[in-house]
Amino acid sequence: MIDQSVIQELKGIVGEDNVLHNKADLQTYEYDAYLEKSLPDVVVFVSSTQEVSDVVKAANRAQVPFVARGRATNLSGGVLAMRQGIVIELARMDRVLDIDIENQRMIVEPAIYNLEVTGAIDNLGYYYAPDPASGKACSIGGNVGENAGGPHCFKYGVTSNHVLGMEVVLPDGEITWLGGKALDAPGLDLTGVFVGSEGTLGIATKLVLRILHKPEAVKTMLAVYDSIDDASNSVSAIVSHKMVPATLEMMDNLVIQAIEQSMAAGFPLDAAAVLLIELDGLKDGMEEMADKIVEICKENNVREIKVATCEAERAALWKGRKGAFGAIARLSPNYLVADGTVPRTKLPETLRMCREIGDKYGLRVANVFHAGDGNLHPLILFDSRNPEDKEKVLKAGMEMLQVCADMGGTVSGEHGVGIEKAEAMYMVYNEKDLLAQEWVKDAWDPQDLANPGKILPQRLIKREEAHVS
Amino acid sequence: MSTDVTKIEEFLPLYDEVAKCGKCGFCQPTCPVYRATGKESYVARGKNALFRNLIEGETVMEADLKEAFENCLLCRACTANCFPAVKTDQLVVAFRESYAQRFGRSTIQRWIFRNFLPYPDRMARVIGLAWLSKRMGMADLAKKIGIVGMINPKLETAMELRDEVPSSFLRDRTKNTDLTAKGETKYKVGYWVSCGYNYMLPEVGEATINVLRHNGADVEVLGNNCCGLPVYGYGDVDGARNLAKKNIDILGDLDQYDYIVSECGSCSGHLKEYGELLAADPEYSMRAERLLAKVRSFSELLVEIDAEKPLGEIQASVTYHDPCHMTTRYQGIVTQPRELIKNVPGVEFREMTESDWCCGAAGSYNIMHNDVSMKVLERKMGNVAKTEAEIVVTECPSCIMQLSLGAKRQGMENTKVMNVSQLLDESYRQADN
Repeated sequence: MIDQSVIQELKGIVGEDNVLHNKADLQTYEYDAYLEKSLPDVVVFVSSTQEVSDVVKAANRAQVPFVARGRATNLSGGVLAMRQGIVIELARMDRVLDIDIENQRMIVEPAIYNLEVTGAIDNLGYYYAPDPASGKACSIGGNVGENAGGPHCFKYGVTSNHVLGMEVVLPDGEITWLGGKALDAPGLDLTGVFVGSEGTLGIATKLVLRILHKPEAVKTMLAVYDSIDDASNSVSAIVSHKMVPATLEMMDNLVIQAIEQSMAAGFPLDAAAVLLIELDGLKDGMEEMADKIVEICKENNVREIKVATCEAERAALWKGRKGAFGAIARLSPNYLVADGTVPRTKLPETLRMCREIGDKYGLRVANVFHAGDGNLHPLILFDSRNPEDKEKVLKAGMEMLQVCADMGGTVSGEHGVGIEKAEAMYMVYNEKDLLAQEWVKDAWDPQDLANPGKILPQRLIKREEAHVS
Repeated sequence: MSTDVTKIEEFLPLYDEVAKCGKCGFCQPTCPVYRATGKESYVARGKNALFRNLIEGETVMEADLKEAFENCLLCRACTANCFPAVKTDQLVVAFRESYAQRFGRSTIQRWIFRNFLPYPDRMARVIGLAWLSKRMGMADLAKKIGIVGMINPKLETAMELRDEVPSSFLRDRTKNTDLTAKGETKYKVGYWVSCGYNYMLPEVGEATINVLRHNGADVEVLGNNCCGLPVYGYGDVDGARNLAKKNIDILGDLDQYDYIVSECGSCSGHLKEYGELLAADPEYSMRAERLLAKVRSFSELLVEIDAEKPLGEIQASVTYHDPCHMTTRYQGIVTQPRELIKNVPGVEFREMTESDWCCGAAGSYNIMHNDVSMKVLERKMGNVAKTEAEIVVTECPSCIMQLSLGAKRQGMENTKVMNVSQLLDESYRQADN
């Protein structure tokens, strides 16, 4: 338990009303969108960099761990307070600070919603490219922590390609800037180190984002298949023909069922798989590219291809894809998403093996994923009210990640490692590889106070020890 | 505060509902209270977590939980943006009901629910006294006693807003008014008297009746009680059922009316949900279904009967605020009011961002949690201001009062707030003159 004097000190920094520590409040900060829980000692609402710094310094003085939290939509347990301590709640730091159109840069606070970044510049003809399906609900700060991806990252790259600099409160409470507005900041690429560090190296309080012109033209197509293999082969064929669509998203039958029950996006219920293919760029040449893709899909036994003829049709198709994870709730109360990546050519085989793992445990597996990146998201369905199911699901998830690793892929595509995949790090790194990461963590946070127990398997806090419920 | 360590048996039927919450967080960006506060216990995901903890014995019913479940506008924005569509509003009402049953309501609240709301005469007398106190400069005293806010939470806002005190209630005003159709009688319409218009904005009701008469309706002012929505919102579900049954009895033979109409979105919306409320009672639920067939919101009815096009010109820019109970989250009357507004000559209609976001009035919320309510209202008024519209039209007395308060607080003195019926009435009148 945290010392009352620390709570008093925190109240002194942010004001009495901005410190929560009764059980009812704390129980609403013990979870994120992953499956575990861990109750923090205290939640502190901060509204400025200075407050973040002061709170972190207080945590240092008291040797109490802390974890930054924004919208808590992450899927790997990234914001769970595994060693209790302080949750630093950034939800109220959600402003746009600067829009610099000439230089295609924007500065925002961390808790701004991903979609609201684009919302702020949409009328100027610009957008922010990384588009996690949870964009409506997740924050940019969280995107940076997890190095989030999204459908359009196949063509445009993930969060680390779009965050050029940031103001950071280091684990000892000092405030510093990493990177800046320029594409290549001189010296070590600390921005690169920080993005994806899941709050273990400090707390970002201002973020410099690169923003892009909206493409001149967009074409969205839905390709319908009677077999998953044909859909997967189409993906490989499109890419090997040197074409780079903006997105190549696949959904299998179970996901189609869920989406249609939830929001009637117009996906055929009897299809084995659909591919959502979007082209963007200049108008010139787009028709030819679309024709070529139709041809390739036909060579790979596509059943039909629908092309969205207006913005409303395009929006309907995307609504289905963006809502896919949530729609799974129509089939089953809970799911675990195993976020692994394999070489594209290995997709059909990997999907088959994941299905077999599901069968072995008697669990349904639904697939919706970034096929272009080979980034799988097998969703393993279960009901968290049944503890046995949960154990099986965690095992099945690990086995699927092992398959991805065995296929020459990796164990995390874009959802971060958190607590979920810390053990899986051994599947892709040896002790020396991990030691290099340990050194970085030690250099930044020698006291191990910033979001302890995440990412690095040696630091994973065992369930018993962590009072996880 | 004493605690109850047993699991909450009455919540078990809602276990499947709450277990659907996958904690994805999509409720957060759409929850007006969360957006104003950033507090997780105020958003659906947090409430669902606490509710589930209560069922699973991970927490106990105690005072600290009350705040979480009090902080809900019942606007259903969370459910509308939830993939499994978890009905968090039902969990909230179930909590409020259970909490009150275990720890009791305040005596005064119970007394009012049981002894005033079902008795329009008593209501009228007390609220009349409250207005009288305002006229005599004693409004503060009446407020301090707290009775004003308890009997009808909106009254306090109304008292603050209105410089000019309504000289009489709508029900009294209609007693000496011609209620017959202008021209040929085409319909017989039962006019449902909403508390908000009756006690606080009687001029709106007069406008509504005029518009109905203009469109060939013989109007009968119904002798109804409070529809029961505020009582339901407090979690007194039995009290709400009693009011619903009483109202069904008062309306009697529904065949005598072609339609029953209310220009209060909350009343019309709640009347349509009587069937669900009384589902356990075969006789009354059947009568509620018959009522459902007759009930229309004002805009819904006017579009349905193809209302006469208003000819009087109103040179103004107008925006529309969707009351929660008119949105697709409740009645789904969304296009109709806009159609009516755009039909008025001279009007330039300007759609508002987040037009269907709750304004923060939400029954007693603006009294019980005034600070948060005012933040919710600030967001709404920001969106109103962006349209630069001269008139905000809506179809709910709570919204009218809350938005008027917002306009006053934000220094938007020239922004008028009115009901759809008032806009039409003004246009009809101008054409007649």
